[in-house]
Amino acid sequence: MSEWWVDESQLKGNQLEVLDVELDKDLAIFGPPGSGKTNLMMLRANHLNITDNPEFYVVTYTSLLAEFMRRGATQYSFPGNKIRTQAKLFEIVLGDHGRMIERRPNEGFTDYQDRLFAAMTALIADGKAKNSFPALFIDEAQDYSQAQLQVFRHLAKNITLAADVRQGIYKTENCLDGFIRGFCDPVISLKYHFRTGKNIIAVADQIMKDKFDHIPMLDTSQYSEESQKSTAEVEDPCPLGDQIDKAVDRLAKQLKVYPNELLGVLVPRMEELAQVWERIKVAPALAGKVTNTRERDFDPSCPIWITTIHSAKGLEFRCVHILSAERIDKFNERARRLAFTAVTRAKTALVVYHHEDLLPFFSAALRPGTAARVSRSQLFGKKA
Amino acid sequence: MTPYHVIEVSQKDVLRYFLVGPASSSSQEALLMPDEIPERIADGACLLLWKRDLPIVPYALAAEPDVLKRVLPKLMALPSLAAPVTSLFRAWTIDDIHALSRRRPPEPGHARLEAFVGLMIGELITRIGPQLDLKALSSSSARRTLAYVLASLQIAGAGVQETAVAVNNWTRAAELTQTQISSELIQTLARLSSFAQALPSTPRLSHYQIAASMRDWESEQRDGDLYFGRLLEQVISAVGSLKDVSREQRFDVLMALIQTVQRSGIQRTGSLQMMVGYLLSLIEPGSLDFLPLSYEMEDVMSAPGIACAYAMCAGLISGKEFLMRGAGLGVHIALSGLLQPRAPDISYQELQILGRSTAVSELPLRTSVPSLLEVELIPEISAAFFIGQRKNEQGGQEAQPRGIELDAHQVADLERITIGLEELGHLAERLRASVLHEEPPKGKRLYKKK
Repeated sequence: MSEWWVDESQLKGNQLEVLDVELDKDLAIFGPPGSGKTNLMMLRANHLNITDNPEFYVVTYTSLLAEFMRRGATQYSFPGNKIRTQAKLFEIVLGDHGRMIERRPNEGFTDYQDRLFAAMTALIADGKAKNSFPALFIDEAQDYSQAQLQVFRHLAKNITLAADVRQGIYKTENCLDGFIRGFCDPVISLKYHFRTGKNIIAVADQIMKDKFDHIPMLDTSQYSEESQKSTAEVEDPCPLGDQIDKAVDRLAKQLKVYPNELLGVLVPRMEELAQVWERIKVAPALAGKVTNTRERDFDPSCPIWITTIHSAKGLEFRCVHILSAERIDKFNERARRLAFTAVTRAKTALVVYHHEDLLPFFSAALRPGTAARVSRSQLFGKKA
Repeated sequence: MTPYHVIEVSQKDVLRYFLVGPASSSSQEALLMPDEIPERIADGACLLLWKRDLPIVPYALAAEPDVLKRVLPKLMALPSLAAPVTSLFRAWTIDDIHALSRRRPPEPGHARLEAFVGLMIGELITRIGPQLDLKALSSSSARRTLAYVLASLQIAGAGVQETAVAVNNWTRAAELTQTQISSELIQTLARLSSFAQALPSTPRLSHYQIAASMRDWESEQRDGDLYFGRLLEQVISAVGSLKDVSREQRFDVLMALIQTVQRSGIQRTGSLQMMVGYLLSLIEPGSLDFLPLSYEMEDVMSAPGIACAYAMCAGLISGKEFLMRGAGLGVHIALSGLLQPRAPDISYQELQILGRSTAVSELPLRTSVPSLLEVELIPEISAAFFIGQRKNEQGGQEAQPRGIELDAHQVADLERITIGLEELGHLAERLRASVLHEEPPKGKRLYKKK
């Protein structure tokens, strides 16, 4: 369902430069959503695997992204178990040094991750685990703290990073610049992007306008609207139940319109996820076609994935439905980047649903004003 | 056209010719093109035809249908001869040979292979179900379709009459081998194939060109549907509005048009399927992603063959690139059958005789592919039929050919054969040995150069 490159001819612009960088160099790949940075990193990992087949890992921020990348890895020569989350990587290293910690009963995953990280820093402080691996490939590197990046640096002889600061949704400070300046050479910034339709990119550009050194992406889009016209729509406000019903109707049609493609339903928080899942899983029109990425029985072979925006980072869907979109405001200073990340998960169709007012930047991006002159009478009342 | 070395013999002498060569030096031998072979031969006589590179046994035995019906059982009754006996030679009627001479193959590259590969894919999904995986599909599966036969007929340049005979024979062979297929699907496939054959030989067709060709073709049919042309005009006009819209919007417009077509007065089998398949192909021109949807529509509209029309249109829009779909499925089909026909396992005539009393799947037939029976339907046009897993496929012994049970009349016929069975058995052994070692039989040459 994903679109991983299968042929050199599919690479464009400076994407090919990445393949020319020697394997014993540290490399940082920057690029907008859909520029192929993750895919290029996978090709580089494949290069290392073919050359030497050493123990190396591709590190993802979430287990869902690891699952998604493993699906893509099936076309490469390295096994899917070389794609690990940060937590799994730390468990491997700690285990190798007899310093493994157990997860406590009822311990939250975040707390467990914190203890894992503390155990790792203690191990490193003891002078252990230096250059355990010839290379680590870190995806979504913008989401790691300076300390986490330093741990990766310690563990691997060489590092390849793939990042986009605009998609940093787990923290607010940008740790990458300083870190990269310290050792990464070369740094390749991908200019062109291919995945997301221009009508959706226009929304993403508007969300990020003049923020985070955002360079507008519309001009560098290689998406062909002629072969697959994209759409970005916002539904009229309605309660969540009605949003779900509308989304179900639309998804039932999209299953037919986009067979063999992945469709995504994204919500800002776990609260909304529970509500949406309860209702959507019993919708007859989607029977057997829908799965919840946060459930134990998550089935990646289903064509419709229900997930939070955070879990969706790094993923891509032919069509994206963002429900309860006004709840993005709960993420305060990260809200803009969260909206940007959610919107750019869509390749061809984006539908946004909400009940209350959307954040102004999101509303403005989805409903750009007309350039037409407004009459005085139009200023009164709600309807223009 | 290939010339044949031809000898006319009596029924009585056929066996001898097969086993030891000519019975007398007076036999007339000639090198003839198929159209030079006389339309009428002596009552009860048979023709034996050789190709230069097949000197051991005749390439074909030809006779009037009633004579064939009498001669074949005698040959089949011979102990120690291969079973089916027509795996060694072809069994044709005299009319078959003349039909062969009337064939007009298209220029190389002008055959609409992509349309026919589309028809094969569509037929398979209609017969097997939407779980069909194109990448896992073998060219053997494609050879089991009627669409494959129709493609072979087009490549061979067969005419309407010969096509009708081949389809009729395929249908009867399908019955004998318990191949499930609806008569409506057969009619639809025949109609779609006829349309594909009439198309211009441009490398690929736009959807407008396909629509225009459909309209023109329909108007030329004797039983053309009155509603069809009118409806098509409406469709062409609506399709014009599909530019610059999303795939979802296109889907909405096309589904509305399909409902209009469904409500229309189109009666004739094949026309509805052609129109709906065409409309489905416009959701994403050239894509095969909508095979499952087209299968679903067949069910909803009770119109088997919509998937065939859909896949045919997808093929026409894609052109030769279509042959690379499904891991090069079309190229495999072309190379492992269509362009290099396989030797058949049995003639249609022998299959008819065998299938009269016993289920074909239970017969101990020697076939080149264990679970498939390649039947020559008309000269040089074969189709494969599934006859179940054979013993040798399950790790056991391959089924051994056994003698054919004869009725009293056949036994009497056999007794009249001048050579005793004992001698025949001995000669048959010699023949089998020579076939195995690919050496010409000892004795007099069977034919001379003209």
